[in-house]
Amino acid sequence: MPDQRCLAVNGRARSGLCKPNDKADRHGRTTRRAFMLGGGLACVGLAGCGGEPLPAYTSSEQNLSPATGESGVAVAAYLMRDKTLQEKYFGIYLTEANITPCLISIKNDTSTDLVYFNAEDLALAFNSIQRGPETNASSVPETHGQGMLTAGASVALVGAALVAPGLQLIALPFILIGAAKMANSQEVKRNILAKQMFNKTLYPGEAASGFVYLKNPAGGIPQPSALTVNIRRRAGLAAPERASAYSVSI
Amino acid sequence: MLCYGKWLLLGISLILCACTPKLDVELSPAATQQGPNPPGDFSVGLVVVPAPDVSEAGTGNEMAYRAKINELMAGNAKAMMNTISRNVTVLSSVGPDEQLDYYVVAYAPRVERTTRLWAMQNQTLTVAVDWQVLNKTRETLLKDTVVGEGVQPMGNGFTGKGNFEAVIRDAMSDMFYKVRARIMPVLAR
Repeated sequence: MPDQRCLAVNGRARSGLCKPNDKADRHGRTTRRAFMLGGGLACVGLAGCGGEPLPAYTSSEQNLSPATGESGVAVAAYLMRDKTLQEKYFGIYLTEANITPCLISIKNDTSTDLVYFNAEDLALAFNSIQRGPETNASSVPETHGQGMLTAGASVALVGAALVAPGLQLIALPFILIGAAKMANSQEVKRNILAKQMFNKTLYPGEAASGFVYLKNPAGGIPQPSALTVNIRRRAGLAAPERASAYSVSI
Repeated sequence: MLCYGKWLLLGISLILCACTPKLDVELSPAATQQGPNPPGDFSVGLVVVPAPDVSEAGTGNEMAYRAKINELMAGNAKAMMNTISRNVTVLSSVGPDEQLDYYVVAYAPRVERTTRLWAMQNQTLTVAVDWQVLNKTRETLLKDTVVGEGVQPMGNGFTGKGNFEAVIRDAMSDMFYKVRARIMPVLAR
């Protein structure tokens, strides 16, 4: 009567009570151990990859184009078109996903004014524009052959829109998932949020900067040529709030 | 070989599994604890605007944690404001008849979560909340979007729930810490 603990599987003893006494058994154990060790190493290796944090973007003054507008507030912008830079700082070539990151910098150089930056109050100018049927003239003013998109009007345009920054927090990362490599798609998503510029109130002497993400129009419409940053400001709390527009060639 | 393979697969699945959490976050962020300056004597009206309909915010776990964040917002915004002012009143809206020194309005939080495949990799939760501060004559002193981020390992079947709760707590704590630092000097002006 054979010992049940010594029943062989595929001709090899599987119980430690049965001493392997042939080369095949020893080889089998070695193979299993190698397999387990390899599996463990693979797990550790895979866990370590794909999570590399992306570097923060440090803008230099040379990159930023100053805006024209009312004095006292310095507004500048830089449209990052370069593929190498985008891959370095965002982990992905965003333009392939029809998105171009635009760095905006604002500084309140006044001694009394309050400045309110609203990330949704931006407008893009194009050399030409394709209108959707719902778009009316008031939301898309045209001057000297140029067209302008405002964030509010973007919904009405067909195939051409500025990503409303207020929606980016939820919507934008999902746009990128398909375009990013699976290994780093989550880091890409996190990084986009981390570098984004949100609404900000600037007291005298304060400054802010960050990226807004412009959705490129699809289907042959040219790249944006100018960005208008609409801020609101007031000369002290007692003064009325007023709009002030700053235009940057990008 | 086959038998060992089963154990190996079971082990890997335990490592990978980030369980479906039932959220039970007890939040006590450092930002809502007493700072070096005692609370001021001015009166503050606090309005916390929740997401209008959380059921539209997503499904399953996503909806659960968004709802939880809404709940945490209300309780902790009051706790944070109590460290700034001794006289905080919770309001449903800033009405014309209110006669308080300041009004602080927190709008519905927006959240974004990144998850990872492996237990040892970090998940992140980003919470963005629009805050507005008005004075007694309803002039806007501050209108900022404040973003908080929490980072924790994904964890496995045993630790995943705790890590998920921790990442929510960290994100909210970070956000409240920044808000407090932003609002304090504005009210002190």
